[in-house]
Amino acid sequence: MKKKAYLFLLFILLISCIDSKLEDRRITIHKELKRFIILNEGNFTYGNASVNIIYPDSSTLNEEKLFQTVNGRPLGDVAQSMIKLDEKYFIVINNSRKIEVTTLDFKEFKTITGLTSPRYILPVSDEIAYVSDLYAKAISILNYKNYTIVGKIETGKPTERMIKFKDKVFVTNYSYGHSTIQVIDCKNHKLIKEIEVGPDPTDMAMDKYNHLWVLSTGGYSGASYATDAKISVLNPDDYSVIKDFTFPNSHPSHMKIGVQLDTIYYLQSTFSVLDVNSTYGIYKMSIEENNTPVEPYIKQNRGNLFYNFFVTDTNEIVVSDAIDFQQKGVMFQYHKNTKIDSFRVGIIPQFIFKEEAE
Amino acid sequence: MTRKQILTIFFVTIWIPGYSYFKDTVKVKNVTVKRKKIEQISGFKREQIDEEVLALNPISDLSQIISENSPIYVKSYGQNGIATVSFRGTNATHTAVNWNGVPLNSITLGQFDFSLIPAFFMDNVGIGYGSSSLKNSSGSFGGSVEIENKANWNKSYKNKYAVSYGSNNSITAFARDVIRTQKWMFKTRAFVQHSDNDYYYENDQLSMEVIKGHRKHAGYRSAGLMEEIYFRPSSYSSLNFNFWAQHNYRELPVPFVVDDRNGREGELDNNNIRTSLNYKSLINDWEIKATVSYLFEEMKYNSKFVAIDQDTTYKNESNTIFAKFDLKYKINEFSSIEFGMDNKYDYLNSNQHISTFIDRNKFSSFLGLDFNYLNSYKLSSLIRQDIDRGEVSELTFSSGIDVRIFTEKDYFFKFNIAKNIHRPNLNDLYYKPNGNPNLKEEKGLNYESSIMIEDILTESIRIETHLTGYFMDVKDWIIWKYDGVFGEPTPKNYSKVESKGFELFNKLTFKHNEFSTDLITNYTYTSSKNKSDIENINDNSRNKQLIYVPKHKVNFRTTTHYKNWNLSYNLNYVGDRYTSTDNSGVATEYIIHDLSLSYSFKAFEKENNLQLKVDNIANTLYYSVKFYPMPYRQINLIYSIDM
Repeated sequence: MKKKAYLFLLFILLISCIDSKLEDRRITIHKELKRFIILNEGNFTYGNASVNIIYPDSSTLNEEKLFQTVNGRPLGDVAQSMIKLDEKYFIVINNSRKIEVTTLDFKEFKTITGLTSPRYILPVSDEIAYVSDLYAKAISILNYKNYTIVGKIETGKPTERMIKFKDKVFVTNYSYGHSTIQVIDCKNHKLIKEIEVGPDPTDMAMDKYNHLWVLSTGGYSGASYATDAKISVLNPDDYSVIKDFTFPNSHPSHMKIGVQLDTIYYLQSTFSVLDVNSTYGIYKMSIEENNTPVEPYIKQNRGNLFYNFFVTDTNEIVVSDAIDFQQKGVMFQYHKNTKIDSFRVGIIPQFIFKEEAE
Repeated sequence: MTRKQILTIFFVTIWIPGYSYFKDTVKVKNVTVKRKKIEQISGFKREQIDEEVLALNPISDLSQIISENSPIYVKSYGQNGIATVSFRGTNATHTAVNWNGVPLNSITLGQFDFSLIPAFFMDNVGIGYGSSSLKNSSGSFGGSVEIENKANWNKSYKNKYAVSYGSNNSITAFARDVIRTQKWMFKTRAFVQHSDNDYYYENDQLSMEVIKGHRKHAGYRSAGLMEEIYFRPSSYSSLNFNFWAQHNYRELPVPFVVDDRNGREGELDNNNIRTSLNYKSLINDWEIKATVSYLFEEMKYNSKFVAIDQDTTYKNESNTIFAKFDLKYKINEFSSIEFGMDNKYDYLNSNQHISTFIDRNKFSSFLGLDFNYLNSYKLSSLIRQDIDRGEVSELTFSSGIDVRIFTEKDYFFKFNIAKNIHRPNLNDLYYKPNGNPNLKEEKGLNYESSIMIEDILTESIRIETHLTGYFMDVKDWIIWKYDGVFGEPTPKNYSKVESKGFELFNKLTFKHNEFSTDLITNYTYTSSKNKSDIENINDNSRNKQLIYVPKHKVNFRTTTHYKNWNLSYNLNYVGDRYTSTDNSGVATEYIIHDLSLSYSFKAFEKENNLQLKVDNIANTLYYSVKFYPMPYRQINLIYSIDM
């Protein structure tokens, strides 16, 4: 009995010495294929933002956590947006207060720090880009050739989405009940105009007539300043209002324009849709319309939570479903208004960057 | 040290006492074995954290004491950061914290911050598992922590003064004065604490370049005063008054994935005043207890963006008036009946809720029956009824049995079943903008069974082994979920949770002349899973472990005394915790080693003690909450004198 006991103890000690080691993984980017790069926000302060790559024509090649796998460290906290400049990806990580610059294979190249709460990047010249910011009350001026912040444009308000038109940049003053968009002279980097729209303006789009469409979400439900959402259509030359659309009792959250610049899409979403006849989903309307549609183009099904969407160059819609905001989400691909595919991605997928096959 | 090595140590320490049961012949000297009395609340697992442990860790806070000396998982945001506990896979609001029988849980959040209680202010810490605290109140599915201050009339108290200095400019000073007569005792305790907490770190998570430097905006300071007045008019009655005032200020550092060199700073200010008046009396076969208490808490959270000089302050003040009355009657030598009632009135001034003034009243009563046959069989049953905000709650109950397995041995079998309810807190009900006043109570049913063995092997060796298994089923679990892309989160009664597991405790004590040592090991296995119905076919959270509930936890502690020397070693292992509901994200496991060496000596006819305490000897970077670093190696020198 004693002998068996000692042998067993020896066995326990021996197996305790065995160590296991994870093998390194390499990632191959298939540039010969059309691909969607998905930014997953992750949860605030959790540091679980990530990047997925989806090959719609060959989904077995899909990869997740690209940045972390290639570079051995996390992407950061709350991935907000990305852009391709000078054959590099610039990924804006909002709560980490940084921009990660990578090669097109997602190998880390540079980390730009010193920002407050960066949101989006817009190039305005061959070497200069603007970086909007949720809390800084200023736009940072980035030299994207040498990856340095070279100045600031004081706005006095939060800044979000940006669109360039001629020598002007239009920027929305999103959140905290601000109801304006601002106009920046991008030759002199100076604020030149403020225009009243609706509370919490977020997305913008320029149509084929060079009219500027601005979605104001109306403020989050329960906010003291909350009111009806609104889409304002403006003349960017003289800033006059051409027409607007009001949404009583609803709050569209995102707006995009189709590739031909003649069709507007916007998202109205809610969690836990219980009514099969609900009016939540993605809406579509021609820029010639004077009234908003009654029924959604793509209906949000029971239990889905549509978080953001993207319109491809063939006018297909790719929609993200955040599920419960605490697990890997899903992307749905729609052709016209029929679902043709779905992909599992990261936590809170919210930004899609498309790369064509080379 | 890997998880396998940890488990190896564990099995070695239980093997030695376990093996002894299989020896054919044991030669022992004649010893007098005292039979252990069956505990007051039969069928439930209850533990005490020794006064010795508290004395050995005077500068620790309650979160560290519990983490290192129990199977309970403590989720902490860093040194002196917010620390909450998870018993048996439940969340922090399912743990009741009581101070001398007075509930201390926050009326807004429903939970308790264990980092705010210094070990020096406690005489005793009791831990009750499962619904063992149903006799005190409903609501604690996971368990309860009982902080106790008491007067030991048989003890000769000395005044104690101590000071410690340690890593990162951490200074603590504390004092205790006791004045007593035959019938009166006055105990005064005070402490002050300060730390810059600006430890050196190397952060390779945030950017390409490794960021080296000293941690910013992580300092803290606190001060407290406690006054206890005890009056003992006779050996059958006592009256005591407690007063406790404490101030805590904390800077809130950002996680490692956030650049702390140019951004947001947060600060948390807590001010607490706690008072209670307690009366106890034994008149013939009647036992009477009464308590009246007033609690005040002010909490201010300030958030500032350094770059843009923008401040936001959130503030609330909460007040509680609590009164309790218990009456117990001994029917005969085998049985007793007990009746109790309490009323808790809370009111809140806040700029974060739907109204600046919110109040709530809860009345509760219980009836209990105990049957104890010759200290061999004990049966306890209890029913409780609450009336909350004018609504009558569902009846709750518990019933448990203790059976002494062998007549002259302290070997017990325990079993209990309990039904409990947990009410939404004020934030769940009234937080701006999306509190939900229509929330239902969470309902839990739990079963628990234990084997407990305490035995004396030889004159010098004593062992204790406890093995407990439990199963818990909770419905209408409250979860805060986002109501649409653009809405704020809303609490709803979404979930069902099933929690089960087992806890193994082992203690081996050896004592010979002036030498004594004990080895204590705790192991917990917890499976706590989401069993909710799924609305979204892509939802992968069903049957997954709840987030931040580790499956495995191990403590190992050994304390050795020899003459005036005391050496203590502690190992704490926490297994992987999932950070997402589909279990795709993980906060990785960690193992921490602590060491303490102390020496007592006489100088100027006074008892002196010098202690060197080294926490996290291996200087490990580890996270209790992912990316919020816990302290690196901490060295503290503590000097105390008894006068």
